[in-house]
Amino acid sequence: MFIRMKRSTFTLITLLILVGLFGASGYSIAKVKLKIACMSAHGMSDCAKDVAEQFNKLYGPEITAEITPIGFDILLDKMLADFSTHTGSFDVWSVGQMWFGLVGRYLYDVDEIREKYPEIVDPDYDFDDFPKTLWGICATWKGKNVALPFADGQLILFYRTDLFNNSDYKAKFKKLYGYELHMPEEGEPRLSYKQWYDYAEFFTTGVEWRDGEQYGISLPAKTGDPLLAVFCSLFGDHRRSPEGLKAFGPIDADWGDFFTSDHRVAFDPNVSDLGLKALNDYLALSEFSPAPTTLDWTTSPEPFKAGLTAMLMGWGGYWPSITAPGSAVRGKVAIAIPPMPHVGGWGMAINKDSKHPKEAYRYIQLLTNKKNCKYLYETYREMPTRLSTMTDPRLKAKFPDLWYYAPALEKTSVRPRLSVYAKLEHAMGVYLGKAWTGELSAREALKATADEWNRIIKMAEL
Amino acid sequence: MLGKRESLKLNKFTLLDKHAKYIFIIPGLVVLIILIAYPMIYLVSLALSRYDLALMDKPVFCGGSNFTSLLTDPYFLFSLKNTLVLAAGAVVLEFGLGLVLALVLNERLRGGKIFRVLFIIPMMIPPIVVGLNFRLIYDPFGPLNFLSEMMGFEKINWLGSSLPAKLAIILTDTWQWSPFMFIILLAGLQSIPDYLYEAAKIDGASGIRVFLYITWPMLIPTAAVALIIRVIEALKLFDIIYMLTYGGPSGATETLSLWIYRLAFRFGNMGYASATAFVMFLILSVVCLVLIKGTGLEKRLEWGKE
Repeated sequence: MFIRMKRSTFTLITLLILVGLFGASGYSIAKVKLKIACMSAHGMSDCAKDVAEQFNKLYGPEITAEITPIGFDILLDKMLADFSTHTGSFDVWSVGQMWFGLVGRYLYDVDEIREKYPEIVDPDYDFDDFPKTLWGICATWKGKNVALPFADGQLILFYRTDLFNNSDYKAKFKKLYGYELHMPEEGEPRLSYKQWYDYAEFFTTGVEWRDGEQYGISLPAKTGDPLLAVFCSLFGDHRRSPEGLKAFGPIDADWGDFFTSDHRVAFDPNVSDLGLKALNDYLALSEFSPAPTTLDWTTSPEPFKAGLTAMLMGWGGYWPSITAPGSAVRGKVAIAIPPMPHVGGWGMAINKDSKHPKEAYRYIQLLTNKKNCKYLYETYREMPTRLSTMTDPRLKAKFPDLWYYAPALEKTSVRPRLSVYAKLEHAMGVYLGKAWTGELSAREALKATADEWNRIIKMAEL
Repeated sequence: MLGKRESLKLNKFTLLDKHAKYIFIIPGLVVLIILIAYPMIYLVSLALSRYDLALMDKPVFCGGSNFTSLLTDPYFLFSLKNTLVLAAGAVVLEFGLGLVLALVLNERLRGGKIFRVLFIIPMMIPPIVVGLNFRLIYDPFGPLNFLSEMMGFEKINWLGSSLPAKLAIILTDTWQWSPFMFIILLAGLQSIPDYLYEAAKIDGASGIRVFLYITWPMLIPTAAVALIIRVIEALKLFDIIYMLTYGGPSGATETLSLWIYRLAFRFGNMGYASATAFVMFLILSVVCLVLIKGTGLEKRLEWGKE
């Protein structure tokens, strides 16, 4: 009996200690714990974490949000694994607009959530504040609202103001090319391809502006996303020209610039010569870039940041890192819109297997509302998706790179948003890449890519 | 005479003793079934199904159509070719370098022990880290091009051209895994009885004859084991390629492992990826079998003998 008493006393004391510990640590069991997977690049996950803290203050401790940053390279893999296994590991995902075709059917139609729970809808949200292009590609898929726009990624041109404004270089350029060395600014007509090429050539071989190696442009052409995106930008310039629109018809939002209105491959040399022109433009510009086939989104800014190139084609989100303290080009950089920018774009979407769609919608609504769009841009330089932020005079005066967002979206190229997007991207890397390695001529590489794309589309019965 | 209770206890222990071997292997067997047998069976069932994650919720049986598609799939064929070329190149170099190092360090040299420790360091570094580091080394503005320019050579676009990219991968893999060959072959060399060398010395045999008639024949079983292990690993090469080239430029370094990963996790084509993985498993098995038979490993290690 003494042993039994000792045992029960011991158990009681242990229980008391445990309760005390939990009480002391302020531990509380949240009714709902939202798990959010967010891409880590361009400060996106930092922004998501900041808003998660706001969310937790507003709705905690009953509802809390937890952010998991995931790198771009593995984001799609993890997303597919979560969706296909229906585990609902994450309630909310940041989804690249080009992946909607692949994962769109796994995402909630948030219109349904708003209809079911009207009390959670923010009356000041203002859907019209999103540019139509961005709403079309980052928020909708097959007529449904599957996400809220979170980040507007645009491929633009960074350039060295000290080089472009140098009076000696301007005089020399005028002598060689017959017109002014000048990068278009806000309100001016966009850069033409001829200007772009001439500038790249001039700063590679036309003038000695540094000791040692120098290049006109840092231009990504590595297999995968970089090659496809940059080629889309260059081809888009032809695709959206009057000649291109006449030859190919209007652009289908889901099929993008690479396809005709009746879903044939537009850059196919059998369809038109415009694809070959675009590829030759790309190859010609590549001559003025250091090792373009090794440059991806991570490595392409490095030569520009190190002061080796006069221009960089890159995502707008690079601005903070390019102009950070310690950068060799800090204070010497400005932005121009290329002949045809290219929009990347990210939306925050709700997993159909989420058990908390109402709470998840609360979070993504908070993340993408007007106030937070401005706040996140000002604090983290998060690429804005709202016109009220893009055109805010105070912000434009404070941040010299803000001006391009709105005008770039007026005419920009878009990628396909098909279920076979990943296959198309890979095929382009394999076949179009051969034009850089010299295994095929430009025409042969383009033809091989077009044939493979046609095969993929046919097999998918799209 | 034993009482009833004692008798029952004894019977219980005898029963346990009799079936002890089965009791001891059950945990291992469970692990084997869960981690190997079940996944293998599921792999085969997926390989015989059409299962595209972008379009379907469940796999649909389609027989052997995934396997017949493989025969004419250019991606499969060139990734198979790349796999064999990269693996062969890497393993040959690794074996050669490992053997030379083992032969040199088998001699009693001053500082030999320190060198042995230093040489195995690359093997301890995770392949992903090795890939990241070598990406910097092969960078157009990296130390390798810097050194080659200093010596008067032109820069090489290591990761941006087909042949240099292949070479870069072979060299990286060789740097990391030659130490493995070195350790195994050194152990093999040290197990060769000294009296054979003494006898050869007495007979006046030259260094090359000693190597050809004593060292090499005695080393074959060890070398065969090391080769088999490295060939299997080299045929599965993934991490270094993922970090260095991601299969580029233009598919020049796309291996089967990377292709299967892409099929499954980028394209969501689980059925076709499973079929490709199964075929890769068969290819690896055939290669192993050929190596085992070719080196006579079975006989040398007297496998299968009771």
